[in-house]
Amino acid sequence: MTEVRPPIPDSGNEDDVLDVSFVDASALVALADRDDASHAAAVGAYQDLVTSGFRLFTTDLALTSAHELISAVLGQDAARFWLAQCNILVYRIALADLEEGRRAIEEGWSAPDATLADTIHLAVLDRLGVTDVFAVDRAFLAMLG
Amino acid sequence: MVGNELADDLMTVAETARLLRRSTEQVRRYLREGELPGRRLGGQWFIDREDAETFARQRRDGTEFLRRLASSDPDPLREAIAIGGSGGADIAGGRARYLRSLAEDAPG
Repeated sequence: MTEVRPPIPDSGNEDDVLDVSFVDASALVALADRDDASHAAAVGAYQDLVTSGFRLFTTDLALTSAHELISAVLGQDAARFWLAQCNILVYRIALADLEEGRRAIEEGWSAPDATLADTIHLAVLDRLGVTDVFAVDRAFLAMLG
Repeated sequence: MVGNELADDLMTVAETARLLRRSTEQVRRYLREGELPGRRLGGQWFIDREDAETFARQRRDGTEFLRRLASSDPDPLREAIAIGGSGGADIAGGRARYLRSLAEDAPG
């Protein structure tokens, strides 16, 4: 993971920084599914982020995607319980993010296997100035370089 | 250079800087890097008012979100870990591969 340090808004001190990481759907699923191949690594990474003081957020898109996957594979009861336990701050995707992600796909300047969700999330990260990502999806991580 | 009607819809770099509460140099940087759409007329940058207002609103939303994030739960997923088991899926391979674990588990 790379480190990002956007300033704390209106903190009055330019030296104050906030360590922020975006949590994508694959990380949410890997944490929730104790049998997933990446579960142990994801739990370790999550604990590292928390103990290092990172503030975590996801998006409505990633949360919805994770819920769909958990519901399909772990069952609806597990998905309902998971959703109730998730206390992560959710960023609402803006129309501009959707449009930028869509352009990246349509105009072919995204990675060949990028999904619309991937390119939208790249737009969000770019706009918020966040470069630290907690993900286990190899294709998405490859896009981030 | 531009008609009055068109000029009403265009903002100078200085006007945009005041709207965004940023320096004129910062606004020029947004323009150069393509973050803020603009056009060059007679060697000067001009910004469509609608683009400038949209940009300002997006930055306010981002700033507000980071402010909320600073005071958010520092351990927000502690109760959302290991809530179920797939029997051996692999989300690192993508959505399709993760969902494939269902088919592999299915009888027959």
